[in-house]
Amino acid sequence: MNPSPMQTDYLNIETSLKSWLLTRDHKRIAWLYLGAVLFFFVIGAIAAAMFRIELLTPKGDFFSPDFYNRLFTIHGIVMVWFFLVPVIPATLGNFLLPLMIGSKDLAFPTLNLVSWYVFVVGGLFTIWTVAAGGVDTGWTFYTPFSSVYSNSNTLTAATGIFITGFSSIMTGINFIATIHRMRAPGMSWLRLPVFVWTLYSTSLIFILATPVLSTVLILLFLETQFGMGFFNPVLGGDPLLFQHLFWFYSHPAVYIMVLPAMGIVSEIVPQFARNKIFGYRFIVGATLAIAVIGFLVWGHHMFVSGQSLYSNMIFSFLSFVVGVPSAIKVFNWTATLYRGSISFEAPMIYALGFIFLFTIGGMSGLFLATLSIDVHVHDTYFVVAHFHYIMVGGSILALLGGVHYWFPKVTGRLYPERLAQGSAWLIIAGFNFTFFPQFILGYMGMPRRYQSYPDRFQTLNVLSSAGAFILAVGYLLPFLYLTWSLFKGAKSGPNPWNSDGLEWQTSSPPIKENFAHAVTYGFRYLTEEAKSNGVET
Amino acid sequence: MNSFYRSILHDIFPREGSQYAADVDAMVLLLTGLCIFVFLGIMATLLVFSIRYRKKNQRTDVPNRSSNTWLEVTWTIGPLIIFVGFFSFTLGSYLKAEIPPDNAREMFVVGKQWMWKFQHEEGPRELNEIHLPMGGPVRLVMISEDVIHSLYLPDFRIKQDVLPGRYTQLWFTPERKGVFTIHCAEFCGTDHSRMDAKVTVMDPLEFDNWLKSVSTNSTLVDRGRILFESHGCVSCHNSDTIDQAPSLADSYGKTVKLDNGDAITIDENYLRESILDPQAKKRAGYRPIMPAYARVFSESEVIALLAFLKSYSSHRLEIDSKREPGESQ
Repeated sequence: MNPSPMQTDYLNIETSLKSWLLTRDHKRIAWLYLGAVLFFFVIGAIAAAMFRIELLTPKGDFFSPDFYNRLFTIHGIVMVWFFLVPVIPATLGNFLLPLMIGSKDLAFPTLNLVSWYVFVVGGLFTIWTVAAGGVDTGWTFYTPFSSVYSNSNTLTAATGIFITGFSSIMTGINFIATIHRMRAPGMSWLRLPVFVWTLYSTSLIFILATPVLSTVLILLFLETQFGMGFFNPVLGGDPLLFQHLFWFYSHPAVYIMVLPAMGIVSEIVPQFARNKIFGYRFIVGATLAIAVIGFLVWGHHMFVSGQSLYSNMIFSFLSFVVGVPSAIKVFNWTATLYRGSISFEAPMIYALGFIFLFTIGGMSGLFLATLSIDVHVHDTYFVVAHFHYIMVGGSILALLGGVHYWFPKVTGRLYPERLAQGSAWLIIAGFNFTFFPQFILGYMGMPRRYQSYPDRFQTLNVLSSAGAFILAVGYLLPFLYLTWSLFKGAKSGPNPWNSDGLEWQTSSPPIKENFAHAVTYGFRYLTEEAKSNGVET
Repeated sequence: MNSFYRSILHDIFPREGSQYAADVDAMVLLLTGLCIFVFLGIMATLLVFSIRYRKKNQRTDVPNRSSNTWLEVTWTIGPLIIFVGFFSFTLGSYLKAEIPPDNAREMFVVGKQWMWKFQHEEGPRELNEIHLPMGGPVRLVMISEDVIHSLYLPDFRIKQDVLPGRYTQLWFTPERKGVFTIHCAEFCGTDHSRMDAKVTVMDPLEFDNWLKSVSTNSTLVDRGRILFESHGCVSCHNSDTIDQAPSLADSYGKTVKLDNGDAITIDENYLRESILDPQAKKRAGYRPIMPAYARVFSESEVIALLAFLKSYSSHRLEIDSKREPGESQ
């Protein structure tokens, strides 16, 4: 517990490979996760780059149709399950949750490490799938195509996702237990940072929705290997049952991806507006409302699937309702700027970029919730644009904002501010270039998952591919300069943003035990006096 | 310049093949206008705040948490009212688009990797192409022989998944002459993006001529009757043997009792299931003696049988004698 005079922190206290691979320190496990999810991000991004090249021309002339189908399938599988779902909770969440609530670690440090190994095992199955020639079912695995007609590695791909699900469940259990049991004295529920609330909501979805995904994958396995009829009509099953179970997980999974992103934005916006977040209780309430109502809207993925008219009407109604809490959040973030003292460092640019793109994404969701409009744009590029605005424009921008904001916390060093601001603008521009044309393509009637397309769609597809190139450069820049800063960046000191957040009231990078003294949290925002007591290195 | 904008709009909005398509476009324009209005409002507020309250010097006071319950309630209830209002406003046109009129011309569609097969009631079959008369409603009864497909008519703003194992339906009224495209919208494997078909909408008169030029010797009902007789269905399902098996004359659309006590309306899906797997939903009062025909009939043959059974009436001789070959409804 005694910090040595030579500034040991969680990074330099031990340096052997073993000390990393067997660590139970949540901060180091966050790094392990970061390495793993970045690896998968690169796989998914390469696949995307390849199919954007194919889509430059109307004819399918760069790759064979089967190869093209494998490209978009692996892009979807990897980006959803091996990047977007784990990335914020398992990296920033893992690192910050104990620091934000004044705890030494998560409730179950060993489980945390195990969850990473389980994730890696699941990931190995995915690598195996790619190495063995890929899978061509789309990330949605719709039956009976996936169960009967696909001649690709459906089983290894599904096994990988099945295993990875357990890592999500372990993380969820760990976070919930931590938030209930490990809060410092005085850190009451309504003093929790909004980011912690979003991690809590996300964890609830992890443990409630993921088992349904596991179940559907087991049923798929039993049907394909033992001929039990669940989804195949020839065996007496119903293909729509698969879709119901799949979306019962996969719709809430969207909120797994976006709630923590909203949490990050709810930390960054007040920090850089030098204000308190406006309407804290309402933002927290909206977070929980999204987690709950998010479980009741899965059927809006199935408006043209052949489900009943009444189901369609109910799911359409609920899909409009789930838009309300998101609107509340946008309004509250905007109001947080009111009478602030706003500066525009890179994290703030990302956060405002998030609000900009998330609002477009959310509004396009209203088109999809409207039954008669969805009938036209369902399974077209309109949907592709919509969910990329939420998941890339939303989640990835917030992730990058969070990575920049907490970079000094995690590494004790500063990133190059100008370069970071430039990259943020480049990413926002590249993103819009890539995905805005897809709204129009979708309304014009271009179905998704098309390798070849009618000539009249070419101009917009070329624009989209050009945007993807800009976006790729935009992603590469932070990767390069942050890696450089990790080793060579200027020392940041413990609290370069002069933040009130509890996570900043200790050294940066933190010591292995997080805080040198037991933390008692007086009130939500520490006074100067309490701050100086907290900062001990 | 005006024509430039018009051509952009023309490109964004696919052709409007029906009044319904124009209705959907109007709805989309309304919602787009609404969204742009609110979006600009939010962005303008963000921008004004960002400029007005940009950092001039380090703020020293520690602001208190602020909230305003009335404001929160307003911007909770406000969107809710707008959303629910828009939902209710658009529901009517959706219901209209879902429930086909009784006088619709019926076409059967079979999707398979990677082609569309169309069956006219008058007998002709078409592959990856259909001809339709302008002005009359058309109801497509669709089934897949393998995976899930989705029949998508962008120019009519409609689509419907085509499932293996049961029929789904889609109806529309072609109100514009021309050639329109069908795409498959549900990913179905290797040549998913090439699973296209053409819809040719013609004047009714022109259509009748076309129908005559391709007419076959037998109508779909004829083909169904031949199957009904040659496979021996008729020996049990006739009015003389009602203690063995229910008579199927005049039965379409009736509600009957099952042996588990449920009631079911005899529709296309129930008839299909009862031919292929008769024990799945048994009629009350009959012994389970009918063999399953799942391996006997193809989807096209089941379609012919259905067409026959739907027209099968105790007065069918009178009706059949009145019916001219090639007659459209």
